Amino acid sequence: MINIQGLQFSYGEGDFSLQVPELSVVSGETVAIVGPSGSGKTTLLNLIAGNAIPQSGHITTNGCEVTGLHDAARRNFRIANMGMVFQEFELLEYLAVLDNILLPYRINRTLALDTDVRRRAEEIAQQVGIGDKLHRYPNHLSQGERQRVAVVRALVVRPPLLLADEPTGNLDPDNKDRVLDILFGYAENNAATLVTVTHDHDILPRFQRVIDFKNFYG
Amino acid sequence: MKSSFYHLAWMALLALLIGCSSDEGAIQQQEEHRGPPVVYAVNYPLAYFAGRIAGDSVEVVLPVPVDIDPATWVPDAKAIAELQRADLVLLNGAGYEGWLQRVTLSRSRLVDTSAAFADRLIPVENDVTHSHGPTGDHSHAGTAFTTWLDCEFAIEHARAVFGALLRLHPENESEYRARLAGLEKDLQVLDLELEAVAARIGGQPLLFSHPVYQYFERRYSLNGRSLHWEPGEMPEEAQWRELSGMLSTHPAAWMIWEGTPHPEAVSRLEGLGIRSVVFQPAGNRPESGDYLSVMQDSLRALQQAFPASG
Amino acid sequence: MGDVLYLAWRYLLYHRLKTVILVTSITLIIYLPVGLNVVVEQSGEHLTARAEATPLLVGAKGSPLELALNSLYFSQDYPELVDYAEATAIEDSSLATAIPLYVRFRSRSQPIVGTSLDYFDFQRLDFASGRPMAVLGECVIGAAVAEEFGVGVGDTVTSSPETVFDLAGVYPLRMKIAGVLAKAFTPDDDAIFVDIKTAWIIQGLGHGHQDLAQPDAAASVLNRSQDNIVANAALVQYNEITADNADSFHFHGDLAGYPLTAVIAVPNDEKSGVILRGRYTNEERDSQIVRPVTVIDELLDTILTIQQFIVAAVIIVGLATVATAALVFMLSLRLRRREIDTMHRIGGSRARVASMLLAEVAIVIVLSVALATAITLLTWRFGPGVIESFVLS
Repeated sequence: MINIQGLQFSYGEGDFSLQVPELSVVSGETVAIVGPSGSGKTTLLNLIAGNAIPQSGHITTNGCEVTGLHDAARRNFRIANMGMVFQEFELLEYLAVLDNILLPYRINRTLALDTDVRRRAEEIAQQVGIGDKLHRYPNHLSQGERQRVAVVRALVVRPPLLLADEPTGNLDPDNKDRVLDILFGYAENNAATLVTVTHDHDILPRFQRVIDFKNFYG
Repeated sequence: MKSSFYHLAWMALLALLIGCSSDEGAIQQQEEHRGPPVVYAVNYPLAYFAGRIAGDSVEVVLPVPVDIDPATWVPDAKAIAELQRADLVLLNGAGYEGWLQRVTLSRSRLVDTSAAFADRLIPVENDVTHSHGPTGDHSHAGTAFTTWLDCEFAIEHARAVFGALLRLHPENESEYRARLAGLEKDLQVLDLELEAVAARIGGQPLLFSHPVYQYFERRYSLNGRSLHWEPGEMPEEAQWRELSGMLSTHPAAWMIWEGTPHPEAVSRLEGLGIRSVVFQPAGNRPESGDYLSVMQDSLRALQQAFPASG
Repeated sequence: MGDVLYLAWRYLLYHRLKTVILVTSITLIIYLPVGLNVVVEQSGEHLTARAEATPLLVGAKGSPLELALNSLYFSQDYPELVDYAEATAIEDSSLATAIPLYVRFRSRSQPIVGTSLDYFDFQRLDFASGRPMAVLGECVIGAAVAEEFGVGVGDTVTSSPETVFDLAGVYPLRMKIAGVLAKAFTPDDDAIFVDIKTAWIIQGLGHGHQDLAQPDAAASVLNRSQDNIVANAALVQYNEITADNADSFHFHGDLAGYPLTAVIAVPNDEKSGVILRGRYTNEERDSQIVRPVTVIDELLDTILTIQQFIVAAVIIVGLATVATAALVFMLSLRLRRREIDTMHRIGGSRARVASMLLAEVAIVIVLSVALATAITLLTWRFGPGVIESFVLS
């Protein structure tokens, strides 16, 4: 699913630089990336997602070399093939739950919003326990409910690759387990690849592979 | 389809033509119906003057029923509506139309035919006014209003009528002027003859059946006193007593009546040494004759009562 | 496009207070100069039409504008009074038809116009029902008065006292409605027309009461002489003219000195008009003659000047408003940096996200334009009436 070769990235200012000589993730694999703060875990996720371009190296995701695409093509590829989950949920406060879930379909015409998509969104929301909150606004939801909305938003496009950046960082233990169950459940049922950045060592046993980032930064 | 269209077009054109011509017919009808201007007069002398001057060029209307004294007539709603629609309303003035201040008429169509001699009107004797509070304005004292009995004033009335009619039909000026001249001449002849008989009457005391002869009395320098006796009625005893009181200071030998007196009244007056003669003011239209013939009849009655000597 | 508009609309709806403030501000900036122009133009046409239809006005010396406004639009403020003799003098000159006006009294808020029958012909007023007034105490009402008061032929309207405390002065007169005018779309619709003499009766210059010469009026007699009876204050005066008491109504003093607010002079022809105007210009008089169209044109010039100042001010304020709105938008973008970032990170296209942000601006502008248009239409429909009633009250 993911293949990284000779990756070198820095932000231009400061001393930070990321070097990943080689990294591969197999389709369907669940991978946790751990490491100290500032080591570049989130940066790696952004590079895999195509949100940033390395100074050198190649990243191939789901058979497509994203580093070789221009910006619009990368966005189009990302929205159709990757589901993004963020630590801070990143919901749009002025959209109701259902509209937040369907957001990917509205912000890129690569995806077409039709009744099948709506039905799928409602079903997934039902499965994760927020089916009765579709018309509420994020500020009327609990932390756990908001993260579940963010997860459903990531899953609704049926991505083959899920990229989660500290998905349980702001959750209590019950909600943490719940969210992880959703992510792992999807990965298992859809043979999807799950790459998660996390500080939480308690959840590491659930992943098939753990990549320690201290080996990749300089 | 095509023939239907032309059919319809012809019918529409035909309808338009018929409509136009009927409109023209209607307009013509309206114009014919409109007729000459309508001139209302509040009494018979003014109606007579208007008729004499304008002839058929106007329609003269005297709205007062024949059996009512025009001086006491008050127009009802129907009459007011007719007055409002009139092209001209000839007023006698001098307070003759007591109803005038209480009705709404278009001022531009009203003509006060006594305006020229408004400064020579005679106030009513013994008229009681009223005021509000010690410093309030008085109500109007009345004026005598049978102004046409002074032939000079009658001529002024006629001239005012002429002026008003001229505004209606300026194109008829020469014709109206000629007719006015004829009317003035008739009135002047009447005036001269009345002067002559008045000279024969001189200063002898006279009685008048009603206070309607003020201008007649002043014009011809007569010495008269007025009663309030109705011509067709026998006066009451109180009225006879009033007469007796009057005779003590005003020993009249003649009573001038405004209409045919009651025979009993005549004979009782004769018992008192007072003879009767009728001089009709001609306020309303006569049963026969016209204004001039009525005045001439009255003149002859006076001439017979006061014949020339020798 | 639908998605972009949807997202933009949801944002605006969620932040409705901000949206309302923006829309209101921009609406006002668009509407003020446009609406003002509509009102001024329409009012101008309305005022001018009425003024053009009235050739000449004669009144007491003073403000021509006050004279014109009271005579043509029946404003509450009335000018210095002129004698009725002025009307008779114009009539007697044979130069013009004189239509007296006494516009001083009100029945609630509706003006009572004392005039003559000639007024109806002059203004080409038709009757929807009934007839012109025929006797004292009758009135003819405009279409709007009939609607406002819910009255018709046979009903009555009552004049209002001039001031609450003037109990001994102008007292209420109940007047019978003889006719209702057809809608004329002029100030005549709001007026109650009476004979000029009825207006004088409202003022108390004419009245009706018991015959003081009768024995049953003894209590109302102050003193009596041979030719005059003085009434005291106990004399009850009638406040309605009926068939029974009509004969008792009378006037004291000389009618020539009775008051008018104006005389409409309708010259027989142009030459007569010039001669008539010349008499007032060349002779020393206490009265003046004005051409209403000249007066109204001057008023409209003044209004136009004021309008231009207002528009200039509005433009300046408008520029400030637009700048402020732009600043609000830019600050808003800054505050929404994270939201925009998230959409990019999810995979939202730059074009779409930018379109959404621009759509918010576009919707606000479209709403403002639509609202400004709607208010302008309402102004076009109702504005002149509101302005006239404000100016003339």
